[in-house]
Amino acid sequence: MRGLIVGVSTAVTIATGSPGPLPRRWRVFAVAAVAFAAFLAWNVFRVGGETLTIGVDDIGEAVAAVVAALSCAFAARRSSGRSRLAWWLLAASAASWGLGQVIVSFYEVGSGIAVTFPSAEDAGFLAAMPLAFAGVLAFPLNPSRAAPLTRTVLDGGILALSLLFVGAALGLGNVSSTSPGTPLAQLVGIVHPLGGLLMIAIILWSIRRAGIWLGGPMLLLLVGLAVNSFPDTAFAYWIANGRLGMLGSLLGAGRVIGYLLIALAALWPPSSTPTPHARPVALWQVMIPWLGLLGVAITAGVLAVTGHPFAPMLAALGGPLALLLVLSELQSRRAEARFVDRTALLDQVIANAPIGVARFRADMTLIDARRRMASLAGEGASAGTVADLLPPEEIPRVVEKLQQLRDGSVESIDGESPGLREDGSKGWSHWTATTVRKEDGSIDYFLVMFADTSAEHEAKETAMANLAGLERLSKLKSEFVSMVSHEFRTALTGIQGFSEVMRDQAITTDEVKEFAGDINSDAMRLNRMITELLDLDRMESGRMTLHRGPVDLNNTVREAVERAQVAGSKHVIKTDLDPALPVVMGDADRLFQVIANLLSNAGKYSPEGAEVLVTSRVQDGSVQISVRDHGQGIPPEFLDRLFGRYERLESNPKSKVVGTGLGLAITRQIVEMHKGRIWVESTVGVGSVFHFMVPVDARNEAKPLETGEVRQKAGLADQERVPA
Amino acid sequence: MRNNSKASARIRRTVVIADDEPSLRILVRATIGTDDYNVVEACDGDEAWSLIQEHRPPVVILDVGMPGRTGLDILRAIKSDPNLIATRVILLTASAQEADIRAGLVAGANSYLTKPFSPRDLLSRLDEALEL
Repeated sequence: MRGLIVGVSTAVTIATGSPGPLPRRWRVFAVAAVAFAAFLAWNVFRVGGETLTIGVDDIGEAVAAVVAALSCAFAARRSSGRSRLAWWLLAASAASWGLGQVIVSFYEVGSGIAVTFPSAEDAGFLAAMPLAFAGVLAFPLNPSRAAPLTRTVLDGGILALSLLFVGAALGLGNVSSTSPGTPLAQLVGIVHPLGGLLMIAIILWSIRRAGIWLGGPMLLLLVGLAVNSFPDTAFAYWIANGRLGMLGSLLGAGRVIGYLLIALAALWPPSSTPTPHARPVALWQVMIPWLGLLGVAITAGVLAVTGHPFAPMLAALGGPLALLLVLSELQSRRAEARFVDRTALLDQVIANAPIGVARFRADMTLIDARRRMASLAGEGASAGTVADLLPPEEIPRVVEKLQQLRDGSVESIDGESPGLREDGSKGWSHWTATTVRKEDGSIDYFLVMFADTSAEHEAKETAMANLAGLERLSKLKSEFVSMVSHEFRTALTGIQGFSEVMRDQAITTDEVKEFAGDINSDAMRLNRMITELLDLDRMESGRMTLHRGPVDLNNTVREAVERAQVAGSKHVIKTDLDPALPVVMGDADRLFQVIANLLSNAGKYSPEGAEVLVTSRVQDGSVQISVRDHGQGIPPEFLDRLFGRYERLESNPKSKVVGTGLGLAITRQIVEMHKGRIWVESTVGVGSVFHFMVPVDARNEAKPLETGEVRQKAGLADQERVPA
Repeated sequence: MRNNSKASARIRRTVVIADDEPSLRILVRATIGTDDYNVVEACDGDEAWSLIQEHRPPVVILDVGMPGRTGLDILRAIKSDPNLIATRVILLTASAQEADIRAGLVAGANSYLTKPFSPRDLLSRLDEALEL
């Protein structure tokens, strides 16, 4: 008693919120809970004497049922959808029972008339039971993949039959045979325990298939219904076994408790947080029907051991139970087969997809990895950490990125990283890492998928290199244009300036001659540059034709050397010519231009007075001419660009080299038009040797030509016309 | 030229012309090499610098694109030499590139001419430079 008072006062304390402010939404529930607890205490501990207690006992059931009905109606009004329907059905159920109780109480307590069985109480019960079943089933308990509808229906059947079996074995069937009265009375008598058993089966089944969080109001409701139903069954059992006595009022108290719990469930404040996601059905939930079967087995065993006869009803229940078992087993086998199929499909997909899949723990150590692609990190790295898949310099960057996953700021992240192949070489992979969480929200592992993007990367890099090449060419081209215009302006300065001086100033005849000479040389310089530009353009576009004829290159060399010396070369030009040189078929003017260009080049890049050596040789059916200088030499990195259109070696700013820089490009074009080849050997600081070879014409190889027959023409350097 | 004829009667002013093109040096001499001016020629930057230090001329005509020290290098050297504070500089450039011209003016050139230029323009620039 003292304990109870303490309990109640504690509840009141909580309800009034002394220790701390109770949330407003909990106040109704808390007040109700305290009131119900006080009511129960009064009922159970018989405060105020026996008579009053018996009266309260009878009224109590009615009051509890009506309170439950009102609470459920209240819950229905603030719910929606299937919950609303469920609460209305439960309200109707409680109301039905309460109405029967009120009528009976009116007669028994109010008027003192003993009510005979079956009465309005039983009518109320008969209506209340199906309504309660429907109410519980109406709650939205989402079937999940692990609890498909067929499966749960079969489980429900097994549960119901198991409970009936146990109930029948306990002698519930005897209720009808032992209770006196009309067949209707007997029927109603048997319905009571059956209804109780069914209710318990439905409750267990609801728990079995609950895909949502089975908390708070739902738990209260199911416990309330169970407490409510149990007395019927127990009552029937005790009646059947003739042991009903002082426990009668306790059964009434059970019903009161049941309805009060249902009322409390209905008053549970609506959740402020959204309904949790559907969760997989737990193992203990799946086991519930099998616990029923276990009960059947134990009951059957006990019956067999105690030598109790098997009632026909038990045998009748055994058959359907076995059938349901078979169906359930078939169902689970089918589900298992589907599961195996899906797993096999998934395995196939993962095994054959062009991606690698790995799982990492939160500390970045590898759980397992499945790498389809041999080009990505091999199985040898399976035991390590993320670091084993990456080149060392990449690790800090990736770990930093993954940190975002670890601190939970993002759920998924992707990146492009160089990876290590099995053979240790580098490749590129695109990876996506996703956090997989446990039910409590903590990180379970990271799922990482990576695809080999080495090919894409190479393609991209090639494209970038091409672009860089194009940009360089474009830059060279504009430098070329600016250089050419610089040369043109320089030449034009003399032409414009001297002609103006001659026009405007009184000058002597000597000065006229001098200035006219300057104008002339500037004009020729301009002409030469324009000719070079046009030549190269024509050669490159294939619009230049060669005037072919037999050419003695020894002669051409001698002419070019002579011309260079006449033009005032500041170098010592020596020749070493093969007297047995065969003639070649070619354009004498153009070949002269080649040698002249090479000589001019040798002069430009050599110090004054240095020796330049020109040699001719026969080599592998070709005539090879070489021009050796002792100039500054050409750096190796420049060698392959030397014959390009826009190149000019300006490593030494002291040496101002004039011209368009097209000389070697033109030279190469001419040589190649003769099906020949030009190349250079050079050592920086020592000098360069330019070689070119022109194939000997097969028809003329046998008979060397007379010197007079060789076409001799002036070289381009001397020309003042634009060659056709 | 006419503006300075009175002064030049007494003093022949020295002009240093630095350009690697011989014909341009001849042109400048033909243009201004009268009794008024004493034209001193340099064929590269180094020669120009030693002549400038020797003569301390009132005007220097510098080609920007010379081998060795460029016109801009010489210009900067003149501007940082307190002995040459009175020396005016005219730049010659064939590249006609804004960047070169801007760099020249920033470095303190008094004026510039782009090649090809008219000798008359050279004379007027010379006059302007000497009037400053």
